[in-house]
Amino acid sequence: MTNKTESDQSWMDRQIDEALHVEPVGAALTGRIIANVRARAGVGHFLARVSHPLVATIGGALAASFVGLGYVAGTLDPGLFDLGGASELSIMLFEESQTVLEIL
Amino acid sequence: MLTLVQQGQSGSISDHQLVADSAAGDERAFARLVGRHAEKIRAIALRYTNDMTASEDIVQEVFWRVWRAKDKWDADGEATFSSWLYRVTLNLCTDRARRRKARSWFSGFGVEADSAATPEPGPERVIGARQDLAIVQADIANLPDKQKAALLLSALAGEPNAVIAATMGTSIGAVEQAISRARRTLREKKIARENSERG
Repeated sequence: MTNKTESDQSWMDRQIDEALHVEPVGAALTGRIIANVRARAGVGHFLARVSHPLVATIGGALAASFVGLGYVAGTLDPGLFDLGGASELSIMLFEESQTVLEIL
Repeated sequence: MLTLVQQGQSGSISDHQLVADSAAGDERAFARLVGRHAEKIRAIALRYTNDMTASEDIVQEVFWRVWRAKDKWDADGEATFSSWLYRVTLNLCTDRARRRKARSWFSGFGVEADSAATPEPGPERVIGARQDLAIVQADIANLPDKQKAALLLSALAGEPNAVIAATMGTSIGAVEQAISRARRTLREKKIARENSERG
């Protein structure tokens, strides 16, 4: 390590602070968040109305099937959807099914 | 419900009140809550992940969780709303890093999540101040989780160390140490780079 002077250190600290800084984006961000929450709450409201343990069970079974299907499809064709093969496709479908289960 | 009188005293409405108003169906109260905290949450997520798209996803997810939890929020509890918000944000950031790590492991690349998320530009690309800042930003994103969380909550959310300690479930001393170590690590990396550039 070099023997940096105190002014070097404060200069580096200033640069760290500058790197930490994030320019605010303003009201557009709030608008996007509200729109997103509205959309998701709308879907949730609809699912809550039709939700039933049987629906959740079927949803879970479907999600599990997606994962299995994704793995088999990815194994047969590693270049499928350019996702890099079975594992990648399975992970993607697993993440999607987690979201479905969470909503249910 | 948010009354006109309360609206006139915009600065004085607490987060707890806004959450309660949101739970009562007042969308304006929720929008106000978002307006009050979204920039800070986005900034933390952006510097944590060093990924603009990920930070946008995280900020959306945080406020979706706020919306879902609004009826269950315990205004008499010890946790402040902002502490809870930061915890959710940090959890989502670390979850994302874990998922990236799992993804790269499954994909057979075996690349560490953090370095995959924030690749350091090679020396040949390091030209001028902007690139220099980009490297420091990558260094920030590659800090250990606790150091990074403490540094970002302090620098970007402007929270006192006591609030950061409560958020992270640790002591004030540990927070001070984490912030100091984070800055030292960043300085040392910079010095090491300068030395290697000098050859």
